[in-house]
Amino acid sequence: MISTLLDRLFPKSNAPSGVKVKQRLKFILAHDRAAIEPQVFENMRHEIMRVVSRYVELDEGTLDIRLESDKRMTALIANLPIRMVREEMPDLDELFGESVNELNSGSNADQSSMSLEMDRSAEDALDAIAAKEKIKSIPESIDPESIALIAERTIEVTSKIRTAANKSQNPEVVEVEKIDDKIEPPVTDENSENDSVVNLILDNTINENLELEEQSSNQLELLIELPHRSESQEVVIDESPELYHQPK
Amino acid sequence: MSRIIVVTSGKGGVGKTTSSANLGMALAKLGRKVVLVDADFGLRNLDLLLGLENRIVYTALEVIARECKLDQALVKDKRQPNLSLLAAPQTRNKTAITAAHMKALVEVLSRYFDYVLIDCPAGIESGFQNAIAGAKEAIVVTTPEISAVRDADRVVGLLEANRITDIKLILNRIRPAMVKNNDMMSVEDVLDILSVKLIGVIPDDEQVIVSTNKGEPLVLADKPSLAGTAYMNVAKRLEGKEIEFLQLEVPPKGIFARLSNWISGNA
Repeated sequence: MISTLLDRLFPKSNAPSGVKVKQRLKFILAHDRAAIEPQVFENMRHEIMRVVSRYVELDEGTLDIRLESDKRMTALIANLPIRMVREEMPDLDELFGESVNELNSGSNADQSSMSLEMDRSAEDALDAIAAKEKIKSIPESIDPESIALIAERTIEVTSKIRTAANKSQNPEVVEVEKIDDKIEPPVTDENSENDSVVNLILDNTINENLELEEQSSNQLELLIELPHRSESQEVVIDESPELYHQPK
Repeated sequence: MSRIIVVTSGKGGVGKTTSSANLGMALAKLGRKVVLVDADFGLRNLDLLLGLENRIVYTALEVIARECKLDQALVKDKRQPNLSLLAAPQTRNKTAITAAHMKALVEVLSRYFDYVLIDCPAGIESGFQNAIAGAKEAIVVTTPEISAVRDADRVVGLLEANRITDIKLILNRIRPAMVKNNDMMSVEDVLDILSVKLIGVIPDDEQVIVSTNKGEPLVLADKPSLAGTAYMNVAKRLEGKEIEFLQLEVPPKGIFARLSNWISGNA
């Protein structure tokens, strides 16, 4: 009684426990909701960098790829400073013809046994294409089509890894079902031609929004929003190739 | 069209079974035909809270094993004939029951009742998976405590992964004085974190223990306590009525209580 009276008369400057508990909860839930194994996340990081590096040379010292969670959404946030841009883009037909179809066949052939290892053949094909690229000079900007390509490829890579991660984490979830049939065409920001910012929003079968911006400061910012609840990540990968933005 | 609702929480001891019993009784009082299914196989308690423990002959297990007919296992509440209970087995091997069994069971029940309320066991293992198997909607019960909210968040994720997207939240055991004093998360705090639609706020109420002792759900009382009224309101909201949430304010106190509170820092 006396000690509580003393505490009352000379209050300590502690934050109320109700405030503290909310902060602790938010921190815990950000980790709970992400639910991606560190190894899987490292693989994803690695593959995103490989895809993007095919088009631009990244400053590996300062790039930053991480997960963030607020109350509605867990997001993969990537900040990729560009050191230089590769001028000669890979042949689009070749890219779609070999690698995308390869990815498609990889995912469609046997979805139930998909694993990280299974994508090796697709990766080899991508490596072969990457090897053909050459850096010729440093152009002023990246054309929107290439940005769109990077976006698509990044979605493929992330969704594949996430699907594989889900398999390994939730072995009881055998079936892979389509969450969202809604397919919206890629939306290009109407101002994109004026200020060289391209916003590509794809609401495709993997139920993700992807925004990709090329900024004047030569940074590639990538924001991939994951579904709010990490468990609801049963996804299907590009059943229909025409879903993707076709090269001209 | 009958509704199949699972009452779940992840964490144990937050008031799942109390909520199931009171909601079932409240909906029955509102004139709906309700069956309460105890899915906590091996640790059944719903019968106790309803005061029906002496009338159980057959359980869900015998129904699934086809050792009895469904209506033999349904215990009709004599105080409220709209309410029936399908008890969980207490003794036999609970691993014998699969999600497919439960799904079939609640599907059959839904043909005869307006509401099938499934009382889910704690945890997220097979018992949980069985309990949610046939459900179309979910009510998640939590308390304003860190562990309960964390588990509720996990359960919401699992429900969504199992394609149960109609999820509502009951926030149980709110203590208005502590909330006011910033020593307990408020309703808004919890909603902010969980972002699930709120369907009820139940104040911490000693009458809950009294009603459990007697085997009479709170909502049965002629003059329900605050928690009983809150459960009645949840049932009305489930029925689609717009009912305002109870104003849970700290009751004014006498001079002595206020002095004692001031000394202990709860003023």
